[in-house]
This record gives sequence, structure tokens and C-alpha cells, in this order.
Amino acid sequence: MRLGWAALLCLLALPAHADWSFAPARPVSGQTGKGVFTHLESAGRKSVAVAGDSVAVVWEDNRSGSPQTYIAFRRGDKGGFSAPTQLSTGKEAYEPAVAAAPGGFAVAWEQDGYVWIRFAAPGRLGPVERAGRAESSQATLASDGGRIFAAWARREGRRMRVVVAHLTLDGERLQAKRARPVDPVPPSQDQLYPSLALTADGVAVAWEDRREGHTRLYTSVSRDGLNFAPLRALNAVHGSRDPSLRFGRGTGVTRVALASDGKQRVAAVWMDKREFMGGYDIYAAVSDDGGRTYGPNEKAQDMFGDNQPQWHPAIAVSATGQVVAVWDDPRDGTPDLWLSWRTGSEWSDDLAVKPASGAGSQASPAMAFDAKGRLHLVWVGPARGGGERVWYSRGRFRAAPR
Amino acid sequence: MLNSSPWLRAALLVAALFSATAAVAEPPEGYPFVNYGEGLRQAQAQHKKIFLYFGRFGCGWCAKTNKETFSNKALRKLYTEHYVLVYVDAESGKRLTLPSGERITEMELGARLNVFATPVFAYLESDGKLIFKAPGYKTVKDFEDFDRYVYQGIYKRKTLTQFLADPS
Repeated sequence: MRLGWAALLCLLALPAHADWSFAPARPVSGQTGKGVFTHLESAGRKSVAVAGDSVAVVWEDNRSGSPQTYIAFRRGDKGGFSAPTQLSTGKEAYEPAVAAAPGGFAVAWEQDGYVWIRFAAPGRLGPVERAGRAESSQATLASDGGRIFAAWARREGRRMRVVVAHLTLDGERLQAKRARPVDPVPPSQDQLYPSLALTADGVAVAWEDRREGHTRLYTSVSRDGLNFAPLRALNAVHGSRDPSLRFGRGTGVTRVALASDGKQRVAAVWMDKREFMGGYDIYAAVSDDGGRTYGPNEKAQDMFGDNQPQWHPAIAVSATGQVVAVWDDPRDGTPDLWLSWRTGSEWSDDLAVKPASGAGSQASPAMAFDAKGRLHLVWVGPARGGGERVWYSRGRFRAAPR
Repeated sequence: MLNSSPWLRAALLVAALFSATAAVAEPPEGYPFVNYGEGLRQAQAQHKKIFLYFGRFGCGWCAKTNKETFSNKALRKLYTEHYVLVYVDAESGKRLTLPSGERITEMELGARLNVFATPVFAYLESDGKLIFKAPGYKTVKDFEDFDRYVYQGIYKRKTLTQFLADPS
């Protein structure tokens, strides 16, 4: 009898087997030649979105001879991505972001010094619209199927200022309402790289802010995108560990990304240099009140990545509130994608994303959940035959019973 | 008192602004640092190597290096004469063009070079090829040694470790 209890205790002590499985990688961005450079970059890392059974991926490459933005679609569970469609119309375009919109997708990007927006769906493109009159960059988007919001950094004199705008869709014409600053006080230093998440109560926003003499992350919320709550600092500040070092203002943080479950849960992830000897680490924080307040800063990566810098963090939250972070780091020699997910108030061991690991560089991930809890992941990796392209894989979480 | 003295208020404001900017890590004063693209252009035109300073806004070790090392006049003369000086903000979204023609942000350059911490000092050939990089605070002596290693072409026949162990 005693032996039986011991065996049961041993069994219960084993960790529940819970893991992600990913389908083989599919190419997204088509075949490109030598000298074509492909980038998956946007404020908040919003390069992939899901609307119903359609997936849209946006990126920038120079296949036309200059950097331009592109979109490709995948419909249903089978088949590949459509041929790329160019979105931008200017001399140079960068950092496209995508979000679901009624009947298709909303896209925002930087083009020749301004932020532009456009509706896109398989076989259909809306007109290109400039989102504001002032010099702007670093656009990001968030939507919940009905509401669409954009944010970007707008030049005001010598400084950049984060603004948020409600987007409306009239047929296939996507338009930005008047953009409003998140902080009513004109910036004394740059506000950069915003990220948005929509909640049941409104819109949550986070951004990089240099007003304190080093980069901090700030957050705010708004019910209507017009009036914002007082700002809150997101990242904990850690001074130098060397008390003799009397210089500088603080450690570095950068490239915050937000995601939500559409209800009250908002998760943030960012690169944080508080342990500065190993470069940036991946930190996260979770809000369960729609982004008004966040819990303590949590280190999302495990200790095996500590002696390497981590880059390009993205985050996704499922409709049931599951929080997943992904980034790239070169702990195995070359950059690979690493995934971690939150279990209670802790983070899992880092999982190498199988189709995005191995020889060559697999980097710059972005991801989004669909309504069924499947995770749609994109990244830049080697193209067969040379060069690089955007790749896609869909993952599913499996929590096996004990 | 402050209300009755607008000149004093203005002076204090200027002093506060000065102290605020003095703590911010930026290129050291008196050095002709340029951005990456301009530096690459100058290096190729002048057949000079590039000294690349990866800094970060608010970086303490960068500020310490600026104040205690780059303030040395002889070092300033040496590096201004021998190199094209390039400053990169490791958290910046400003774009630069690599020798390959690829357009990336300053921060992405740090990711490509796997820059751990700031400051990082890198020495590049005039075509942008990396010779070596050295992270962390450095003294005047460190930079003088690095200069001999690079400027005299010793890097072509010795590793930096070999050179520093036997600088003759």
C-alpha cells in the first residue's frame, strides 16, 4: 500500500506534458533572387493577422529595385500563399503592419516619410490613403473584427510623439480619423515604436519613451481612442550593479509589443538590458484589467538563453487568455526562433520552434492566434537556392492529460 | 526668489538642460562622428578604416567612456586622423544602407553583429567588413593599442589576443 502511494506521488510529481507542435514551414514571400532583402518588421511586430479562415502576411523587400511593402494571403487549411501583391506606391516603403478588418485586412506602413493605410483582401485592394499630414513612421495596428485602431510616431519639431487614430472602412476605403496624442504634454524627448491591443473596454497602448534620459516603456488606455488615461511606466528600472559607476541614466529597454484576448487580458513583451552583460533579455508583463495596470515584470526566457542577446520579441494572446512569446537568439550558433508560454504566473522552458531552427538564420518572428486557438507564426529564413524569404507555420498547443 | 529673478530662472533652466543632456550617452564632444551611410561613403572616398561606436541612449558605460577616455586630446587627434568615425544608437530605428545594398535600422545592425552590451567599439575596413569588435568601457591605453593593431595592419597577421600579449 505504501509503495502504491509512493508511485502515485512520483507520477504526480512529473510535469504534465504540454507542448507545441508546428506544421512544416510554408513559403510566403515567393521566390526572390540574389540582392533581394526581406524584412518582417513593424512597431509591435504585427506582420501577420487572421480573419475568419484567411491569413494575411505583410513584409518589405526590394524585389522591384527599391524597398516596398507586400501582402500575401492563405485561405483555408490547405494550399499555399497567394502571389505577393505590392501595397506601397512610393519611392521607398518600410515596416508594414496588418490587422483584420471587415471583409479583409487593414494594412499600415511607412512610405517616403509618412504613414499610409490601405484595405486589402484576396484579389481586392482599396485606395492608398495617407494617415496624417505630418512626417510619421513606426505604424502599428490592432483590431477586433469591428474596431480598427492605428498608432504611429509623429514628428513634432525635433521630437517624435506617439499618436493613436481610429480607422474607418467605407467599402474598400480605409481612412484614419484625426490622430490624438496619447500624452497631452508635448514630448521633451522622443516617443517611439508604439504597440496597441484592443480590449472589451477600449484600446491599450505601450511605447518607448526617452523623457527620463534613457528608454522607458510607458502605457496608457483609452475607451474611445480620443482621451487617454494618465501614463504608467511598464518596465522596472534597474540601476547599474556597479555602485562606482556614476554615469548614465539607466538600463535599456526597447521594442515593446502588446496583444490581448479581446476581453480584459493584455500581455506585453519587450527587450530588456537590466542584466546587461548578456545583452537584451525577453521580459513580459500581463494585465488583467484591460491594460490599466500590469503585474510585475516577468522574465519570459529561460536561463539557457542568458549568455546570448535575444532579439525581435513578439507576443500573442489566445481568446482563452493563453499568453505566448516568441523571439530569436543565437544560443545554438545561429539565430533560431524560441517560444515560451505562460503557465500560471511563470513561463515555460524555451522551446525551439522546429520548422524555424537549424542551419542559417531564422529570425524576426511575428504571430497571431486564430479563434480556434491555433498559432500562426511567420519569420524570415533561408530560401532554398540562396537568399531569404518569409516562412509560415501553424502551431497547436497540446496539453496531454496526466 | 525665483519669481523675482527671471534671469536666475533662465540660468537655472539652462543649467538643468545642460546637466540633463550631459548624462545622455551620445557621441563624445569634439569628434566628427557621422552616421553609418555617410561614414561608409567617406571611408571609401578617403581610403580610411571605420571606427564604429555602438552607443545607447542613457548608457552609463558609454557616458563614462566619453568623459574619462574620449576627453583625451591626443586620442581625439589620433582617431580623427586615422579613422572615419561612425556612431550608431543601438536602439534606434534610423535606417542605414549596408555595403550589400540592404537597408536596415541601426538597431538591426546591432542584431546582425550580435552586440551584447553598450558601448561596443568596432573597427571596419573601408568597405564595411568587420575587423574586430571590443565591448565595454575602454581606457585611452586600450584605444591606443587597438589603433596600433588596426592602423598598422597587425590584424592581418595576428589575432588581437596575440597582439595584446606581445605588442612588439
